[in-house]
Amino acid sequence: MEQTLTRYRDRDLLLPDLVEAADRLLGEDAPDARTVRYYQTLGLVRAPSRYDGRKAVYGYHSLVQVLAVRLLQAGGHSLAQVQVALAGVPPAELEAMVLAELGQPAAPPPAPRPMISAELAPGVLVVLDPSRVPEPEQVLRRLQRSLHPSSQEPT
Amino acid sequence: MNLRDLTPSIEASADPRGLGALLSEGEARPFPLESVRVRMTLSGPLARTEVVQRFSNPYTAPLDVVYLFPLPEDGAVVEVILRCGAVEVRAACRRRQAAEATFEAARAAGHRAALITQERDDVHTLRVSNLPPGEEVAVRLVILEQLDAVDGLVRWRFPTTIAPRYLSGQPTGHSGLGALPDTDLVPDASRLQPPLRLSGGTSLDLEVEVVGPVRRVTSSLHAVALELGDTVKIAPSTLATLDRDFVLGVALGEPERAAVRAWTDGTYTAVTVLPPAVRLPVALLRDVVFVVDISGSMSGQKLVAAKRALSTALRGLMPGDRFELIAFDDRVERFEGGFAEYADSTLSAALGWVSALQARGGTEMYPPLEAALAGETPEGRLRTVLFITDGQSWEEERLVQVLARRAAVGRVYTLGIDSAVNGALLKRLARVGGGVCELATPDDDLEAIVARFEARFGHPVLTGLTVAGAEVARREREALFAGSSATMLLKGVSGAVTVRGQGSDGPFEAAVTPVASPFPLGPLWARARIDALQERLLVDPGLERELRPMIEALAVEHGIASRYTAFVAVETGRVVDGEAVEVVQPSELPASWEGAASGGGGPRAQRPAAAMFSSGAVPPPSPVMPAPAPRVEPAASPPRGLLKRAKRALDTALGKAESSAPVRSRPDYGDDGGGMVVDQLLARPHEPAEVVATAELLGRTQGADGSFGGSVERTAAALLLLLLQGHTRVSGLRRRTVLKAARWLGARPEPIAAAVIALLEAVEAGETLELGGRWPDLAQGTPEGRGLAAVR
Repeated sequence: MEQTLTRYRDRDLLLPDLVEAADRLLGEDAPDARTVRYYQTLGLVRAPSRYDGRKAVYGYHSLVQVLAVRLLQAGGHSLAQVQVALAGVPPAELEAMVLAELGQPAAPPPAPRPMISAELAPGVLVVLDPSRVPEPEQVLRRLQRSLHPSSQEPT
Repeated sequence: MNLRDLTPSIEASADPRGLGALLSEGEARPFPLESVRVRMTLSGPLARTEVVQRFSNPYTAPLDVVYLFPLPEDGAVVEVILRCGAVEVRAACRRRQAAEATFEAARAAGHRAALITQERDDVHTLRVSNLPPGEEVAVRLVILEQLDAVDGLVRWRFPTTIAPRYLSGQPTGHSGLGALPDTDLVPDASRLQPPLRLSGGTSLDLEVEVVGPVRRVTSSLHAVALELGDTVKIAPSTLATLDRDFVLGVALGEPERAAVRAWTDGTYTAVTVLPPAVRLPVALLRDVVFVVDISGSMSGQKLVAAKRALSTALRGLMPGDRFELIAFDDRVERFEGGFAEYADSTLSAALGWVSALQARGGTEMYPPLEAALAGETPEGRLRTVLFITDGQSWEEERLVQVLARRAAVGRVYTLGIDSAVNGALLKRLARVGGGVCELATPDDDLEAIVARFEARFGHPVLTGLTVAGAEVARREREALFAGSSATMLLKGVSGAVTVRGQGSDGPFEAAVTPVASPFPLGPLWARARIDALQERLLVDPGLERELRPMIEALAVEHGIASRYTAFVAVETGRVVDGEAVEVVQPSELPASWEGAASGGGGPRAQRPAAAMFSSGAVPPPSPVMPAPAPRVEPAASPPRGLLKRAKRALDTALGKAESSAPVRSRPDYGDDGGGMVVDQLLARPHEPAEVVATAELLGRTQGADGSFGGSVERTAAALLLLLLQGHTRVSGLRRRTVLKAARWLGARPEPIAAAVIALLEAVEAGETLELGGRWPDLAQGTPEGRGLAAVR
């Protein structure tokens, strides 16, 4: 089976799956389940994205973080150093670093969420990022109303 | 209008560098919390504290900070201000959901914003959004508190870190931003535990300013320096970080003569009641259950301190008492499995059992508490539970419920020992359990603390306190135990206040005219009332639909933080570009915790291998108490005659003539000659070391029946010796020893026994003991006799 990190990108991982994935990718440097939970108490690994009954379901980024911690530890760094080093690293950057460390090709970045734009009035183009503006369509309508208080609902 | 998709230009991460790059730059890269500045002003029992948390963004992307932090559990957060550069935004106090929605919208829009939510009495969460790289923000909080005085010291504990606490139950989800999952037993757990910080620390700049004269200052975990001026300023004298509570005791100005003092802001009034010093209640025989925490988090210094406390408490039992010992981690171990009679043989077996205890597993508090309150208490006996622990568990609801359910069985007292103790839980348990909470640090003199704490075992000395025409914030505060003051918060009274209640020897009544309060008291009144409602909700979660709206309304009306209200501030002047990265600020391991083994965390938070990291623990500084010299008050003239009669009786009993040479007077601790006895036990500045050692020895060599070797002479000598060193049944560190010896002697027919008792009563009535004659000959050749002779 192909052992690439990126194949786990959109997978849900139960804790045993996460450990198994780390095991496949790292070999003997892989952590056990207890250690992964311990990393969570240090803020090194993101909490499970959800729970399936009493089973924690982890996301891809948790796996990336586990690998980053183990790779740094294998390089002779203490957990204290690792904790400082990993704080504030953007997820995409960390993934790229882990891929480079594993000698795997950098994968294309995940498709960004499409932006929404609207021409509120001739020559007035508004662009909204739906990942950062809740209910963007309503916002657009409000904006349009403020430009043309008497106008009808936008089509 | 057309909606169409635009493909944004997001740069692909073209930099194929490995993880090593992080470490070369990582060494210098700290966590976002730069520093914490604390300024507290104390006037009377009222404290106003300003906390400024400064954050910076040392990373390359915009930053969302999450900081789980502790505040004093009884405090009311009344103000929050977000400062971004020159711009200050005052936070609004709203219902929690509304505040969260405002914050999320601001965060999504790229604004800098701050949200403070309260998760538990002592645990708060701060979120700061969109802090640009290289920039800084500060969050300022104002907290109001009413402090209680215990044995003459107004005490303040400012927590700085949330210790790794044990989590009970099975995981069910992860709704919050903390490091642990929610469980069936602790459904809010994911909002409580910050990640553990493995290295470095955040500096704490703390200063306390006391208005009015100060007689004495104690600091348990920090060396402090004093600056005397119009006010007294107290600050740690060495570099402090967020790794331990700041534990302050202040003896204020004049010794408290008035039993009642009051402050008012016109609408709300705070009344502090100090019960008179009374003898230990002796009426009932007790069934005492000692419950001691031997979980992993107790290992090292804390377990040593807990054992010392436990041994002292065991020796303090009275003849006729029965006792049981329960040690717990995630298992429960019992000494006898039932109540043992208090005798020399059971005492020494129990002391041996205690000394062999070792710290091990998780902190499951429910089973031992349930066991301690199991069964019924026989007629004529009083069940007393002493719970000795660091309190490092996230469980709350189930513990409160078992105490409420079993309240009729007995009283529960909690003794917390830690440098970052879970005071919120232990105070709550004592309150629901009808007892008292005492918080100590592993560096404190546990024997002294237990000796004073014992004076509060048994029944309260004042109950049913009321003020006519006033709405009292919480009724539970109306029971007072010997030596500890309590503050009642009132609404709807003006001018002079008359407090009425039931004392242990008759009705109590005191009138007082309030002075102006240094700040509005409404928030404190609301905080106390909310606390009472919150407690009812813990006991009976079914009341949520009824109580929650009441709590929300009170908190919103008074603008204070609660579990259902939050502060939110948004700086709309600027939009920060770029995807923010979230960092949860890790918290330091408390000083005095053994290595970095988070035993309190139990299986879920324990480290798998000792070699994985080194602890950043700093050795705690030795406690220094540079107290100003105590002012000795002229003693009120005591009733004359008692002492003379007692001395004559002693001389007659000994068959010896009185000599004129006074030998030694009782050390003057600056008592106020009545009312509250000012204790100097923590510092004990006047007692030479060997005298203390002798008194300590007496505490250890006394038999379970109260006698010394079953001999009247030896017991009389021991009692005299204690008396000469300032220990009576109402004052001093060895109250328990004196009481037991006096009771044993009181039942003896020999004249010398009656004479020594008469002497004790004279001293307790306020006379100064000056013994002459040849009394050192008493009990010659015994340890007690030698001790007595040595006092000369």
